Amino acid sequence: MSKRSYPQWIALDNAAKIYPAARSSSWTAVFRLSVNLKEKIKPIILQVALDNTLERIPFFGYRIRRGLFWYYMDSQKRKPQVQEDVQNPCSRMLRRSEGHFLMRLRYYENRIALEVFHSLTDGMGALTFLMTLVAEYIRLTTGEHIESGGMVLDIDEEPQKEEWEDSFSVYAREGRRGRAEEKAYHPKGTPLFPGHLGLISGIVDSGSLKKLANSYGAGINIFLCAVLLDAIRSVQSKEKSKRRRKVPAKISIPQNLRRYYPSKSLRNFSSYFNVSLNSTYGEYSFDDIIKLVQHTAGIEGMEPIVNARMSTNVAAENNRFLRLVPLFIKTPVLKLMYLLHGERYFTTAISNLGAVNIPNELRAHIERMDLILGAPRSNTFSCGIISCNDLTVISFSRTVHECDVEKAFFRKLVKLGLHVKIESNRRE
Amino acid sequence: MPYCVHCGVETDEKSCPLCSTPIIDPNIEDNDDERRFPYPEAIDELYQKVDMKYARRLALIVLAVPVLVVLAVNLISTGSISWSLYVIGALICLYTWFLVPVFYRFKRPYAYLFIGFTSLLLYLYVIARMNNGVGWYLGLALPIILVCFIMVQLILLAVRRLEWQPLERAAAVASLIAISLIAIDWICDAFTGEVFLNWSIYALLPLMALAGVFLLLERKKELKEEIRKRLFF
Repeated sequence: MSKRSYPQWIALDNAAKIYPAARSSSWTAVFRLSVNLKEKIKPIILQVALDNTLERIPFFGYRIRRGLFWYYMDSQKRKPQVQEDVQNPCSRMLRRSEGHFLMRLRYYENRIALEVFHSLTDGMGALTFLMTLVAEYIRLTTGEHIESGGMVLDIDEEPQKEEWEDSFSVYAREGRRGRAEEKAYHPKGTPLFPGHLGLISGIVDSGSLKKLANSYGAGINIFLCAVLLDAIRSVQSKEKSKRRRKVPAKISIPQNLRRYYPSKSLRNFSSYFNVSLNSTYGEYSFDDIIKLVQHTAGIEGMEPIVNARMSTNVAAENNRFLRLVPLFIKTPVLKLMYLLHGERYFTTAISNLGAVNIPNELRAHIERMDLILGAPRSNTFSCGIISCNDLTVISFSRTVHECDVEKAFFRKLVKLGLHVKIESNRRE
Repeated sequence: MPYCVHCGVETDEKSCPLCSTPIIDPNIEDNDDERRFPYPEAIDELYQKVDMKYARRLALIVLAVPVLVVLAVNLISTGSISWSLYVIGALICLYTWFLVPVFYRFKRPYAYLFIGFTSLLLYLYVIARMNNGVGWYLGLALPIILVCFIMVQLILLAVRRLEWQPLERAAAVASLIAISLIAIDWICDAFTGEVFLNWSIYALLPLMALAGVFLLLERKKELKEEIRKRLFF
């Protein structure tokens, strides 16, 4: 496919539509993937690698614009410039000073960090972009050719049409599923300085973690979700208000829909389900919590149920009346819908991108990877997990000073016999 | 490899990021210059701060327009500043009551009350001065507003005491309202010359009785349970 046939503009996909409308100064809808290499980053070469990667995946250089009825992504001649990293990542995107890009690339010592506005893509799309960029950077700095495969695209290949496909509308069916849920428990805290994000990352050995999870009959994802739910429950049990102790603790777990459908899309194609732990029913042992997460994930992970959830959202988007409502009316309504339904039904989100699938030649240059979810809108913290080179990094980002859940989470892992190394973004 | 003695996690930081316990490793010299931080010192431009500054400035500009207009009209029409002070005072009150809580974040709500009541007191003082009514201001308005201010502060304190049982908090609120009504009645009587508490007694008795019932219910678990049983729905 020639560059000319690459679309000049793209309609936002189903999941992307909510973000530009609902975002605010405190909720940026930005997440960040970073990779620590074994060598110090050379910014000039990184800029060349970014430019080359944008030739391969051009829509990462698009900007968001307002149409009469919907927002859309529009191509632009400007190219994003690499920036030095900061102490408070995932800050507000779409700034005039940054050319309204939907992504930014940052560097610090040996780290390359990609920050992405969620309207552009999801974790897997961003991971593919970052890995392709890192492979290109390695090629430019060392001359070593990294074979494409896994998360690394062939940089010399033309952009593929399937890569910017809105897979939601392709795979949605007729089935519908109600969205009504019980309100979730939300821990409170003293807000951090506006725009600041508190980060605490725990680094654990993937092999030991897997062994530990398997000893409970679970995989890493289920196990870590259970530990998180257990940590939230322990914090909730110390609440002074009886009413707040009774509200269920719920975690939102994203699902990569590419696992279910043969989509090659690099845009948003993920859904989520919530796991609820209601303490009013009685005391749960840790084994009970693992079973709860495992069985909920089992049911919510069935293709018909996954599809019905996705199709409900697509049906809402395709509603003719809704489509004809002008954007200036839709925006406040979508904002209100997000306030009413968005984070109300879960205490926190835990996103696990799993073990990164990259060629061995590239793996040799990488120390570790991190996934950081940006500040949630009304919840106080969120959790991102990624594994690479036998290291699993569990990163908590929070908008309050208190880190009680993180403390309970990592103490539990230590108690269960894992060695955990902790880092944060504070400077004492 | 330094570890936190409470959390059991390894960390290179001076204190544990999870529990703030100091990390002491006698084998490692405390040298800040050689410390490697996982994140740089630079902080990204904080847009909310800028937005808030802009919003504060914008609100002041929007308020300044009617202030200047009425001042100008007042000066042109009467040659002095007189009735325009009513408008200016009202605008300042509106600003302190509605915009200060939005634009300025305090950890606890007491400061908002202080600012709100102070602006009200000053506004009423201006009105009193302009109408030669400092007498009613000092004798009536000032003490009543002060009583209301203290009552609202104490009610807030009581309501926010989460370690108290809900019925104990309700009893405290009822008692505070009763006491403040007595104080207001007394102030009104004192202003007219003869202190003779009348209407406040009628309010005081049921409120104190209610507070007593709340406290009794909280202490007598059986009675509480009996009432709960009968009022079950």
